[in-house]
Amino acid sequence: MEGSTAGMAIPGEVHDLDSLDLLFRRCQPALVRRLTLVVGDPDEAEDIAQQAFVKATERWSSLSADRLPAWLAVVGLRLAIDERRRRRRWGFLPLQEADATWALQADPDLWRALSTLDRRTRAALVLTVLDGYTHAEVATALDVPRGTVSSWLSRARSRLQPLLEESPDDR
Amino acid sequence: MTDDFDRRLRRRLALLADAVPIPEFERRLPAQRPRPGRVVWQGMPLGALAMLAVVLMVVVALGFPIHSAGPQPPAGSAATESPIAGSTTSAAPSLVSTAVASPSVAPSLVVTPSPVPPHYLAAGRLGFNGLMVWNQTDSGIDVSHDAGRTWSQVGLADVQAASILAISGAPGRALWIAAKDGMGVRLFRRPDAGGSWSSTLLVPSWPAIFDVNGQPIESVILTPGPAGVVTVAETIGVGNSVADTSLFISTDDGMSFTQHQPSAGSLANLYWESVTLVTPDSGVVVEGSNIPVDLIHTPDAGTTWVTSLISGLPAVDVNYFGTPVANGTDIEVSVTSWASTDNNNVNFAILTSHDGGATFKVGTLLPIGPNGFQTDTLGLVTWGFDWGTGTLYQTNDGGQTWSSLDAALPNGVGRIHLTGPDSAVAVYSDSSCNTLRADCHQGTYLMSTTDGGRTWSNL
Repeated sequence: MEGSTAGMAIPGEVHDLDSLDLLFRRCQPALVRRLTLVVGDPDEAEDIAQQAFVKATERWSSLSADRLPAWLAVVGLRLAIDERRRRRRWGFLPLQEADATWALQADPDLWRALSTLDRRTRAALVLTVLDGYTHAEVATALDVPRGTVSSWLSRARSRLQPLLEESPDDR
Repeated sequence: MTDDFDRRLRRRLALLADAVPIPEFERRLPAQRPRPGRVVWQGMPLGALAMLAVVLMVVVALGFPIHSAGPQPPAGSAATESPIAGSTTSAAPSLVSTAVASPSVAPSLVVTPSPVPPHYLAAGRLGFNGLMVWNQTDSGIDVSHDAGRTWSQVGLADVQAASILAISGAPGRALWIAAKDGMGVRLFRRPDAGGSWSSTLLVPSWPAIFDVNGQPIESVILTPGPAGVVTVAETIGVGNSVADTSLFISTDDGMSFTQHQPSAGSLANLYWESVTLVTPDSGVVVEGSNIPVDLIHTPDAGTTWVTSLISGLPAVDVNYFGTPVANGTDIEVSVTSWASTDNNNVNFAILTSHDGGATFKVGTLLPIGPNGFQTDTLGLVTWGFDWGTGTLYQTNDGGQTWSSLDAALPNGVGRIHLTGPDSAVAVYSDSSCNTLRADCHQGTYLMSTTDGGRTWSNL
């Protein structure tokens, strides 16, 4: 595991275009892993990560190195949330089902429980539980009220807690 | 969430993330470095490029212009980048398409002229108080006195954006900015009508039993109250949910303050969500870092705290309180209630207190959907927008009776702010970005209504 995307350091001068490849290599796996937890399909997650990187290149000169990994994670998760909405709006884009075979092989119970949550809630869950963001920070990142984030996470907990309570071995 | 729950969930999520098969990404790296100002996306499939070309040809053939000017930032503000705003380049033409069988078949298009570009906000910390709006971005603080139609930048050259902890304003009174300063907070104040800034340094003195001396302030809640009352709550966290908050109260619109120290073992030693005083002594705080949150009352400027007594709420285990609003000497607070075992049975209501928040009575329960409910209160008027159904609920009598309508708001609406009994501003995020577009815009916009939410237009 690459660790938290938000906490990953990018050595060197990030504004130097030479570090673009380094950014890809260092951030892409962790970013795709997080996005996959939200969208389910690693290929779709990779596409969204690509979009996040494209946006980073557009803002290459104005992004600071210490904010870049977190910037990518937040932009990527927002793109992941918006992707399904855009596909509905643009009717000629297929609403593909996620290929989550990998998840069903790795932890089917957890994935089925996660699948009952919408993308926004999964994104909030990833940002808080996995990356350590506060509810207020997630609210800012996803541009929703803090109370909404708390509501999402409370409902997520009510759905996931029985699952975890039934797994005393803690996997 | 409990520590144990978090720990177990974190571990399993991390293991699940580890199991994600990472596609070979090196083959998709750009073959050459992008030139400044131009983005090359190597991942776009040829079929998609062909379809995009067909779409553009149809648009051109029908004679509709392709707008190249993106949404504009507010006056005096640069559209700086942030994780929230995404990028702003060129706006897409407005296209409504019917489904096509494959990208190789020309899509049937109905093209409508692009609307007037909506008002783009460089995303930041956006605050509303009636018609007064303020927005903090990396480039400064912008203020609007007409609900976001026009903006002016307020100068505060000596304050670094990163040190600002809170901004608030009260129409006709002042604009306040709280910024870190040593072990305390410096509160800047400028009359709403304009003029120069003055400042007051507010450094808490903590009880010796509190092990927070020498630590910088972590967060600030800055709240204008009625009749010259202004509160500044300065917080230092001491754990996941436990925090110590020192309350500064002003009765002269924020020119001078009196500190009210917290006491050990108080109900108030959690993270605060909001502070609402209706007199210099009496009011309520919503607290708790996670739900269920608590609604607590002080009758003596924060010396003592008791849980507010609420009558009429359903017997459920989750009550989420919104930000209480002072309405004269009354306090109104919204509450969303549900049982943690039943996510589909959610009720919303307005609580009203006539005694400074010691007791509350619940209004009419409004059944709402489970997908999110955004509300705002102005006097006796409250609007609530149900994200799942698109329904806008309204009450004009403090939550006793409710009406509803289909608000026809776009996807992406995150917040609604009342600017009058029949007028409001909606904050939404939109984007033309999708898997076929790299040259797209994404940002935060404002829409307004002046007919009770029936129709909305871009600002």
